[in-house]
Amino acid sequence: MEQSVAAKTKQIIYHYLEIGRFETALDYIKQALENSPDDPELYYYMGYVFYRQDRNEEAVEVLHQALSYGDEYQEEIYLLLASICIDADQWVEAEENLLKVLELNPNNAEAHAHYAYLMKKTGHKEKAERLIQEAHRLDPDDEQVLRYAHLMKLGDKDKEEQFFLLERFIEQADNQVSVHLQLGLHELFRERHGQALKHFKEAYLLDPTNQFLAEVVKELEQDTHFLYAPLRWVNKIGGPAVLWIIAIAISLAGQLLGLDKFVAVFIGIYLIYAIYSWTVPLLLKIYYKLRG
Amino acid sequence: MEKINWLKDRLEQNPGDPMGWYWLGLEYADAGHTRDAISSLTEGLKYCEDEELKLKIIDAVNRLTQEQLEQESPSYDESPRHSEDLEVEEGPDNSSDTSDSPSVVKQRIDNAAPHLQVIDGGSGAAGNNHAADSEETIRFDDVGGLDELKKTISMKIIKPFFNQGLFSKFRKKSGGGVLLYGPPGCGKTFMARATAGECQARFINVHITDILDPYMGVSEQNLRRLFETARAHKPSVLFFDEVDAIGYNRAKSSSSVRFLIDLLLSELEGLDSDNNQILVIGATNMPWDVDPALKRPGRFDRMIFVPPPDEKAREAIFRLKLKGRPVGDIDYKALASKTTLFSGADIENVVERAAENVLEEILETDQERPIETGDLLHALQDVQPSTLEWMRTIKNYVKYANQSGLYNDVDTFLRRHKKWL
Repeated sequence: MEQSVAAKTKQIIYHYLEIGRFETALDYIKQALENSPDDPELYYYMGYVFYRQDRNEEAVEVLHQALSYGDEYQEEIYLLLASICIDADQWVEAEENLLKVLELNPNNAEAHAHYAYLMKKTGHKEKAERLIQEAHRLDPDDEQVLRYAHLMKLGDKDKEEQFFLLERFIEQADNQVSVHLQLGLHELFRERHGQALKHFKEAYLLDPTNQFLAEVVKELEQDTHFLYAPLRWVNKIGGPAVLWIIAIAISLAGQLLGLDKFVAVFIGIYLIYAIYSWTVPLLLKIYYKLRG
Repeated sequence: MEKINWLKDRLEQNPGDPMGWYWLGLEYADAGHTRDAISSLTEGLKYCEDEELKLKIIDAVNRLTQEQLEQESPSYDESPRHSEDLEVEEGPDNSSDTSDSPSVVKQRIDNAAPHLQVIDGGSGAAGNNHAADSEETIRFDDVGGLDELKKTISMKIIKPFFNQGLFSKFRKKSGGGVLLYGPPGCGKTFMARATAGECQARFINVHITDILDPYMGVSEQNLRRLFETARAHKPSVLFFDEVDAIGYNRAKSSSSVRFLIDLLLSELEGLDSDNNQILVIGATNMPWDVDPALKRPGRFDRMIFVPPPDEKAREAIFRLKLKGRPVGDIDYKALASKTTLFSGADIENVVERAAENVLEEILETDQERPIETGDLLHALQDVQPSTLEWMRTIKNYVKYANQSGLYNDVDTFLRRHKKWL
C-alpha cells in the first residue's frame, strides 16, 4: 500500500515537472522525502526543479546528495550537472560531468550533443563536429540532438543543412514553444527580424510567464518598429561610427570644393539624425501611449 | 508462493526481463494479490519491446484494474451507509427545505431510486481527498463585495440553471462548463462553492491528485467516475481546481496524461450521456495553459475573470481576519482603500504582521494594548500585493492574445487599475 502511495506521489511529481509547475512539484517532492528521505530519484527531481528555477547552487548540492544515495539515475544526474556547468561557463567541470555520463553509457546521444555544443562554445570546432555527428548517428530522431545540431549550424554558410536540421527538429519536437523558439532563432540569424518576431511572439503566447521571451519580443518589436527605420538603415551601412566617418569625409570634401551650402545642409541633416537616434526610445514610448 | 519467490529471485538478477514480470503478475493475480499483480505487469510493460507481449500485458492490467475497482466500489444498494460515504458535499436539496424548485425536488426523488447508477463509496478511487469535504454550503451572501462578479455569475450560470425550460426552448444548455480564471488566492474556489450553493447543487471538488494514478487505465476510470457521480446527483457542480494541470495545453507538452484531455472533452460534450443540470466549473491561474480545445463552444465556453477583492470585499476580509483578536477602533475603510490589488492571503499576511509587531511591543514594554489602524497601516508598508506578478503577465498576454475578445473583462480591469501596474 505504502509503495502504491509513493508511486502515485511520484507520478504527480512527474506530471507537474512535465507541465512546468516547478513550485508545486517541489511541494510534493518535499512531502515524498518525508517518507523516503534517501530516495535518489526524489533528489534528482529536486535538483531538476532548482536548475529550472535558476537556483544552481542548491541544484548541485541536491544532485550530489542523490549520487550519494545510490547508483540509480547517475546518467541523468551527471548530464544535468553538465548542463548546470555549461550555463555557468564552467567548461572544465562540464566536460568532466559529460565524460562521466559517457563512461556510464557510451551511447548516450544527448550527452554527445551537449559535449559537441560545449566544444563549439570553447572553440574546438572539429571535435564539436565529430561529436554532433556521432550523436546524430546514435539517435537521429532525438529532439535535443537535432536542436543542438541546428543551433551549431546557425552561423554557418551551409543553409541547406540548416534547413534540413530545422525541418527534422520540427518533425520530432512535441513542444510548440521550442519549435517557435528555434524558428525565431533561425530567422534572427538570417537577419529577418520581422519573421523572427512573429515566431517569438507565438512562443510567448504559449508561455507568457517566460521572462526571457517577453524581453526578446519587446526588443524585437522595438527593432522592427517604423520609428526605428532610420537607425536600421544606418546599421545596414555599418552603424553610427561608419556614418560619423562618412559625415566628416563629406564635410571636408565639400569644404575643399567650396560647397559651403551643401556642407551646411548635410551637417544639419546629420545633426537631426543624431538627435533623432537619441530620442527615438522616448518617441516610441509616446507613440505607444497615444495608441493606448 | 514458492513460484512467486522464485520469480522474484530471477527478476532481482535480471530486472529488465518483461516476460518474468508478466509471469510474476499472473502468479500474483492467481494468489489474489491484485495490486502487486498490476504493479508487476506495469513494470514488465516498462521493459517490453515485443508488441504481442505488450498487448497481453495491457489486456491483463485492464482486466485486473477492472476487478480491483469492482472490489473497492460498493454499489449504491450494497452500501447501507452510502449517503454518508459519498464523496460529495451535501447540497441543500438534501435538507428538508421546502423552498426547493420543482426540478430540484424531482431530482431528489430520482436520486433516491435504488436502480440508479453504481456509485463508489469512500474507498481508494477518485474524489476521495477533496470531494470528501463536508464543509457547509456557502451562498453569495457569505462572500463580501465582488458584486460585479456575482452579477456576472448569476447571469451566466445561475439564471440559466434555474430557467431550464426557457433555455431548452432556445436550444441552449443550462449546464455546461465555465472557466474561472484570475490571480492566485483571490477566491476562485470560494466563488465556485458559493455558485454551487446558489444553484442548490452538490459541490464536488476535484483536483488532479484525485484523478492521476500510476496504474494503467485507473486515471481514466477515476475521471469517468467523477462525471458519473455528478450525473447521479443532479443538480451538481463538478469543480476542477487547477484545471490547467488536467487539461494542459497539448501543444506545449508530451505529457503522459494527454489521454485525460480527450476523455474530459468527451465527458464535457456529453457525447455518451446527458450533462444537463450538471455544471462543470474549472479554475485556473494560468488560462493560457488550458488546452484551446477545452475553451471551445460546448466545453468551458464561458470564461469568467475573478479579480482580486474589491474595496468592499477587502473591508470584509479585514473584519474577518481581525475577528477574535483584541482590536481598537479600526478604520476598515482606510485599510481597504490602501490595499488595492491585495489578495485575501495578502490581507491575512498584513494582519499577521501587525499582530506580531504589537505582541513584540507588548513583550518589550509590558503594557498590553489592542491592534490599532496605525499598526495595520505600518505593516502594510512591508507587504506588496502578490497579484502584481500575475497582473503584469496577463497585461502582456492580453496585448497579443485578445483578438477574439476572450479576455475583454480582464482588459477592462487592467485599464481601470493602470496606475498600480
